[in-house]
Amino acid sequence: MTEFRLERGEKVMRAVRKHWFVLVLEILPFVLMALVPLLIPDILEFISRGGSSGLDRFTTLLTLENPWIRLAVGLWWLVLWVTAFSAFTSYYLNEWIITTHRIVEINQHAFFSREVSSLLLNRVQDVRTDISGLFATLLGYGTLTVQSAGANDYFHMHGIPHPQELRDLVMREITEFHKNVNTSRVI
Amino acid sequence: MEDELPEAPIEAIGSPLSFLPRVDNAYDLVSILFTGIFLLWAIYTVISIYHWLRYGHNSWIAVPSIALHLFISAVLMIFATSGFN
Repeated sequence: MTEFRLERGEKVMRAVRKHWFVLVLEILPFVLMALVPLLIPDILEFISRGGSSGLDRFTTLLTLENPWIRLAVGLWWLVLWVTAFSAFTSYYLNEWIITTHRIVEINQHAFFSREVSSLLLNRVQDVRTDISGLFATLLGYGTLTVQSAGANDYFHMHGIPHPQELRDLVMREITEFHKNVNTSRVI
Repeated sequence: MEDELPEAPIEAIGSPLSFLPRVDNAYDLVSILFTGIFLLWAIYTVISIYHWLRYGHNSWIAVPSIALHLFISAVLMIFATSGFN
């Protein structure tokens, strides 16, 4: 781990990212916007059939045979690709890691803006899951909220796959953590 | 009374895209435009690769992602400029 150093006896139990469908939902608008240049000539042709003969000239010029149109469309697609790739990069570099001692949230806000925060398991007060929506219910993704004791600190893990499993894992690790702490005190 | 015919030649109706430079004279314009866009893309790509290699280097997906980005970008750039031969 480059972001944080594991303590002695600490093990990584699970590393999770958002569900793949969340990424698909983020990428989908770019795919739709990429289709727009291909649909414009058809739309104009459809309108011109309705009587707007002035659009005929545009319809014949707005083809990929025209080098300027090809340049504009190519650059439009390049911009969309770069933006979609940024979304994928952000998706992949954001991560939650559950260890035997703590929960680590790695948040890549933007390029050169990366936040790594930890919540010790002995400070966890409440763990909640929320699965709402058709796709979330069908595909099994949702939000896991971990509240720490004392302060109003919350860890929100949005769009993670199988949040109930993760909640159970966190609760199990909390139990194990307290058990180990108590055992070491007795010894 | 006869209608007077215009002596000047009738001008053809211009193309709706006539404000754009003619393609055969536009090589320099395209070169400048494309160089600027390429520089922006190159800066973005270097930063992106840096982040992937620094924070995602443990993952098998880092190198294929970078390769895919370079490949798709190259295809789109070639496509965009392919009309200006």
